[in-house]
Amino acid sequence: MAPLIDMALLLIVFFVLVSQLGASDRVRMRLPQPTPSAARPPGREPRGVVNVMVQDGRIAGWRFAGQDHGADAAGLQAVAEAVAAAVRAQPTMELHLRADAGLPYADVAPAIDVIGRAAVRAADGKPVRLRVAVQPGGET
Amino acid sequence: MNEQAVLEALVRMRREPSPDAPATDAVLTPPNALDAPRMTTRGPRGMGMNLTPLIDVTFLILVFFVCTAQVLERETLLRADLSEQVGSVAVDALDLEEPPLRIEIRASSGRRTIAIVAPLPQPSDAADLTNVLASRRYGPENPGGLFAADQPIELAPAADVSWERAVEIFNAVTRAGYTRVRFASPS
Repeated sequence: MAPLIDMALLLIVFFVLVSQLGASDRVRMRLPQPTPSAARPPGREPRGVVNVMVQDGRIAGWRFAGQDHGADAAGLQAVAEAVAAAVRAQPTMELHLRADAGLPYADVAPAIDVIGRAAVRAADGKPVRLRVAVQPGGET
Repeated sequence: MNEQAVLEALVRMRREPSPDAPATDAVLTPPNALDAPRMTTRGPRGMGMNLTPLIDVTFLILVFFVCTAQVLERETLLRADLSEQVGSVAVDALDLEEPPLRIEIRASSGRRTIAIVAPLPQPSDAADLTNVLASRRYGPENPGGLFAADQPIELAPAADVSWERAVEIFNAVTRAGYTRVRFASPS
């Protein structure tokens, strides 16, 4: 009986860890859904996921590496610094941008601009890959 | 003491367990245990390995991985270009880089919403944009094309254009075979 209980506890720990990783990486939102899509499945490269948080159709903040930041200029700058630090630590990192389909472009564009500049500077001339997350079908 | 004597002593010990021995040992060990051939995986103390829970757990883990893998594959990615978005990159004087082809996206419903800032046929929708750009892409199958596949293309959506519409146009340009597509910096 004891090995069975051990395995059950191990499974519980495993499920908890996996669910936490998934929750911090991918915020639930309605991603754009282009049809027919030219998007590709994610590769094996290390990735940093920038989530644009949305509330009532407007931007509510940013989330990167499990940390939430405000929607103001200071929050965006904090995200950019966090992204730059992550790119310095892992120069081959891909940046994945996740934003709700209903957001206006004006809310997403600053992220592409500021975070992109910070990442390219941190990579010291090496190419930084930005990927736009889309949804083949349904919600995440 | 020869081997036969040792064997007889062992058999006698089995048949006459000591009063201190646990009752389970006496029950689990038949009197002729040493004489019977060992046909099962039971050990000398009556303990065996039941593989059924292990197999159950293994199948559970297998089902979990299958479900998780399906969830992860549901999200796909469009490749965007960041190379031109930083001002501190050193510029090579001999680098004859083509200026980006600019595509503007507007949100108004009455007028044309996609505009290629170039003397090209103007598309009516995203599918038409794919056709226009694909027909101008240079390649072995289209030697008369105007643009190489690595021609920089810059998308400039208006501020009130939805992210979904911007990504739809981005996807249309990517489907036309161009590899260096980026969003314009907000003005």
